Amino acid sequence: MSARLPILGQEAPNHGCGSGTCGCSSEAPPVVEERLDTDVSRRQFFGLFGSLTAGVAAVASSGCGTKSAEAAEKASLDWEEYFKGNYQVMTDEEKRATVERLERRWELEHGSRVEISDQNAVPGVLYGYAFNISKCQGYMDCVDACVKENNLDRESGMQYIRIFEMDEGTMQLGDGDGRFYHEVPAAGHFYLGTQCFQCDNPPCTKVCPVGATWKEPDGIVVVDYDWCIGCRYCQAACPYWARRFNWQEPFVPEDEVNQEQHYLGNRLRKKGVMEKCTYCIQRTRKGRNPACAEACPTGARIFGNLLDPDSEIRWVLANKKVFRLKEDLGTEPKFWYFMD
Amino acid sequence: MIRRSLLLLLPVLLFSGCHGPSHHGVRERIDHEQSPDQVEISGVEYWLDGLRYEPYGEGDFFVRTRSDQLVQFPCARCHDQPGFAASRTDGDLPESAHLQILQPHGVAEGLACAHCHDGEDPSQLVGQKGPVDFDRVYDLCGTCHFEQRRDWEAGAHGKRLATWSGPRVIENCTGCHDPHAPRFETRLPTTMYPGSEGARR
Ligand code: SF4
Repeated sequence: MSARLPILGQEAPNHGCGSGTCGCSSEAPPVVEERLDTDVSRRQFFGLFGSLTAGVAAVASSGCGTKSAEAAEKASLDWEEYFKGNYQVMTDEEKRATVERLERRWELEHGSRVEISDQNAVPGVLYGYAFNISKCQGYMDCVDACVKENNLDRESGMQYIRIFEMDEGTMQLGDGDGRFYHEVPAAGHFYLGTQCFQCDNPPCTKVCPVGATWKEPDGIVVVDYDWCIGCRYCQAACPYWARRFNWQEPFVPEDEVNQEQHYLGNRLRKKGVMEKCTYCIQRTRKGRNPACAEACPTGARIFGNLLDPDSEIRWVLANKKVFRLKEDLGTEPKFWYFMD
Repeated sequence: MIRRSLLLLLPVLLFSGCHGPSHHGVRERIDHEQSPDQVEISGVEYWLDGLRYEPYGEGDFFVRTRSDQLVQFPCARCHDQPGFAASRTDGDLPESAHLQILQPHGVAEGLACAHCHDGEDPSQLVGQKGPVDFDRVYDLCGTCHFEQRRDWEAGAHGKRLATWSGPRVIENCTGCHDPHAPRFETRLPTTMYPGSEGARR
């Protein structure tokens, strides 16, 4: 078995130029490829070494009760987690193994259970979003629901969604106020929400030096929190300020942890890694609406499958005047704004 | 020699590739990859558990019922006098009663109670074509708000409940709008940008 690590600018399914006639190569530069091609055997070696150390620890601790047995188990889990591969190139068995380790580690550390999904993209699905700027009232119920659903750091007050209060008649996002706190809707204003737009041609994934962020086949741009080295290149590359960085260990009160998680979604992050909106991958891959759309009391948020010609979002695209932010950049966001 | 011809090729390569975003827009991709086959996600109905809904029209989608959510019903509990007058006084009224509404729905435009309620029995809704069930209140609202109704049927107005896949269940008009004061209320946002001015933690 030999798996090659994903590298600079390379994504698994390149939908950008599927025609094959445009002349751009999807091959990786050979030098980098060689450098990264050797990892598996090394990993296997460390894996073996890890189980050996864990075995030794278990033997040494036998007779000292469950406490030390648990410590040994945790050490072994930590070890195996440390030397695991990039999620993008894992087999389904490897994905299962890592989520089971993570679930067990959480249980050992917290005494409670979480369920971490490794569900793959559903074939025939490309997620899209439409936001009705004539409906949004600036209530920010979506922001609140997102924080809770996605286990966002309460200490720093991290939020994926920004709601901008805009002067009627203007479209300059730079002039919008993202820090309002007063009775809404305020006269003479409209409200426009931003979050990660899951670009079809995402600039953020291309700059990652380690392949820790990529676009999934259902169009969701994800981060492997265990592969990210925290360089923040992607944050700089995003023209929509959609990425959030953990400057500190994220804190979520134990009783507020959303236990329904996904490896690529709302599982608990750590200090020094990047994160972002994933259209609630843990919900949407089960057929549910994202938390923001579910929480919105005005119906301003429409979510669905772009590949389904009968979906609501397709009707909006076909029948309403829609626009996207910074369309000229060619990032192809899958997030449209429209008016009644 | 080979090197030089490669160099000559360079500008050709440079100017022939993926330039300009317009060639491979996501809209083109959607047209190319779309399929009329419905994606099936097993177990998706689970998320609709506990919702009550009825088929709409031919049954292409479902609308959440209203009759089971009415709290001030029957209307004649209060409106038992001729001409919709209420026998109960302010002191007896539940706090949520709609009498505190100063500018009831459409009054400025000449709308009166009897435009939607039966003059004899306010618990019975009536439209242009006769009695209307509370669960099919869209037939009544849609009489004037036909554009909204069209958008609502198609999915651009209103709200789909719980799921994006599987059976499409949407909110009734009165699920989001108070029929007596349909405009959304003015209130403080539920949360705020961290550290916003006026922030209260
Ligand atoms: S911060 Fe993480 S995901 Fe972003 S570019 Fe750096 S390594 Fe990649």
